[in-house]
Amino acid sequence: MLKTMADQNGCKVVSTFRLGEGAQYITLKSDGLTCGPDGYATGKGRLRLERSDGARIAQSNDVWVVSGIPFTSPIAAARLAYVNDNGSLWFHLDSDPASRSHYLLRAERMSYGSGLDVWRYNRIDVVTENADVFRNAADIKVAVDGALRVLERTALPDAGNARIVFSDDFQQGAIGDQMEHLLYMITADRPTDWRTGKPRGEWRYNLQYAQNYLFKRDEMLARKKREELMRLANQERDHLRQYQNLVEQAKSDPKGILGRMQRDVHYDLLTGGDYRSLMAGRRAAVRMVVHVDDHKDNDAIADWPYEMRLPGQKAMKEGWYLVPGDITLDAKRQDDKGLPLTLLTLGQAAPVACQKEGCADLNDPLVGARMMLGLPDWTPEKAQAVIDQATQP
Amino acid sequence: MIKQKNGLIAGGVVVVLAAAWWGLGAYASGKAEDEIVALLDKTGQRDMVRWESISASPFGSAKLKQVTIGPAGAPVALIDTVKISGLRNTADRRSGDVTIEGAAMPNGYSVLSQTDLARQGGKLDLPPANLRVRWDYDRDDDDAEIHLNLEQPEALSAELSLNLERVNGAVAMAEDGSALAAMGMMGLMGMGRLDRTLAPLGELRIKTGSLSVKDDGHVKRSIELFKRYNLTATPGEGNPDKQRAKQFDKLVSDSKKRCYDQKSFSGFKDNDDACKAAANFASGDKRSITLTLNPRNGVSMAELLSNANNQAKAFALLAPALEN
Repeated sequence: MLKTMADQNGCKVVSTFRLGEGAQYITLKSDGLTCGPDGYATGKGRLRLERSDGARIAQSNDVWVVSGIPFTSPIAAARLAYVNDNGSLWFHLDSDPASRSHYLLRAERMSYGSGLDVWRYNRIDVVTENADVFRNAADIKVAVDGALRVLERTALPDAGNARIVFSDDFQQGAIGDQMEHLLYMITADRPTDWRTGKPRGEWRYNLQYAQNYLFKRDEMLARKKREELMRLANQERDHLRQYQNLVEQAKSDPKGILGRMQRDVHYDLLTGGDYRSLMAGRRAAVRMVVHVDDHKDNDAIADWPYEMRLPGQKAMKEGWYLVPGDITLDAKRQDDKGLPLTLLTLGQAAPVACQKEGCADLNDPLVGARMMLGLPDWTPEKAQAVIDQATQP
Repeated sequence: MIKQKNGLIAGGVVVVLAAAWWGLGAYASGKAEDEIVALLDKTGQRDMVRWESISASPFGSAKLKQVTIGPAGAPVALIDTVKISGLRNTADRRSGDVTIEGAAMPNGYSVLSQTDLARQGGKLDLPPANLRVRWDYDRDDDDAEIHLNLEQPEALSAELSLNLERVNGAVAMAEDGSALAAMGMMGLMGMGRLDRTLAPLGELRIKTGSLSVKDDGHVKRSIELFKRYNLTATPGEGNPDKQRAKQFDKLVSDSKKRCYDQKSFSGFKDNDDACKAAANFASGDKRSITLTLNPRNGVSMAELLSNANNQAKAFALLAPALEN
């Protein structure tokens, strides 16, 4: 973003210089500037861009040039630390290892046209790891006074006002102005002599008018946490409701819970139902209680609820399972009833190995709820605890 | 797609029959085969039907062997033999007896093996099917007989016979294209009565009729499927097959009892006999069931239609009976 051009004396000036197509006809002229030992212009003066035909493309008011960078007000030595996309500049002023703080001066770009840009001192960015300072008025004063002293001592000995922004991260806070990385913002001023521009008194600032982002952030986090707790509580209320429904159902229909877990092929004597489409080579998604009692080749063989094979499941031990999967028919092979052999292929979800005959152990409101919710560790007690926590005052 | 295919097969069979009919009529001139070919050419079906041999006798019978239906190289159906005999096609007498033996798909299984019936019966590898159609119409006696016999080995066979009286009007109408169109229209519009054009149809009387179905595996398999998918065994109460068999027996006897109590076959000659026959067939105890219509003096279509809103009453006119 920044470019360098030499003035008529060969002194280098830094700005954005967007000269366009006729760049080769445009020259930089200055009044009152001198060359520093590093070849960069320095001192107070004016800048202008002129075209070869004598036309004036752009012209500045008085600027104070430090290491080639033009400022709108006098600034002492400046070490450029960062340039952002808008052309704002950050200059490193000082660092304090004791408070783990870095002090930066931010200058915003203002343009006289054609990239003849100068920079105006805008605020002090303090990046500090010492966030907790900003919970206590006395500590805050120390931090603010420290920043003002750095400002006086380095870039702006005669500054009459200062906006100081504390953050805990350079990129996200100082540059990005992201709320969750800002800590504190305050403005300070002091009287200056309008004739000499020299300060005539002490810095004044009022903590009442400061912005404390730290407390705001605390509030925001607390609110987010509260909202999350409420959300979880609502979710658990819903889970509890579903569980209670199952408990009620279990009273009226003792086998209903396991029954509702299952999904089998539908057969209709007149139309054939699902079975007809199975015979046409399609598959049907099922969830069935099966009893594995034998193995052949790579397959497990089930004898409950009727003869079927579970292809590739030779590792399945004898016993009862609730198996989610797909049913297909193998018309080339027949079962003991002379009907096409039923194949039950496992789906994505794993089969549930049951403890009791016919998977009776699954016929329980808690087991049913866990399966329905997809939460193997869910308990009504834990759910109630989550709700209680959220509703605490 | 499959329905289309079936339609094509049926169409092909009809073409063969029609071709045979006309071909045999032309037998006297000794050019039966030429006539059949000419007819196929005329209807654009020449490429769809082929046979290996044809033999005809002077007594009005003929036999086509190894009939192939469908485009050459991609046949849709094969028929072992088509036998035609007793063909008469005069103004006073029309009769015939056509037998199709061994109707199969190119894969060797029955033409019915790709139907929903085969699918819901759990068997696709059905052997080739046989069909026999007989008809005899006598104008002087004003009556007609129709017999239809379908045999699907390893599934079931069905036999339909009808004896009709006062058929002259209906036959005359069937030969008149516009009346047929009117009848089609009536079917489309769902009209329940006969207007004047169709009056001859109302005179048609059913003298006797019967429909027999004999199971050759289809019903047995359907019962197994019903038990498997619609009856639930309880774990811990023994063999699931035995549990379901017990439930099924109870279901059948309950249904039979309900049938007795509710007079489900009211209008039949004997409700309880009909219930028993239906239950015996549905439970697999008896392999066949026959519905006979034996009205004392015959029943006209007009009488049946005038009772269309009371099916039981209309049915009662036919004096039906159901037995194994």
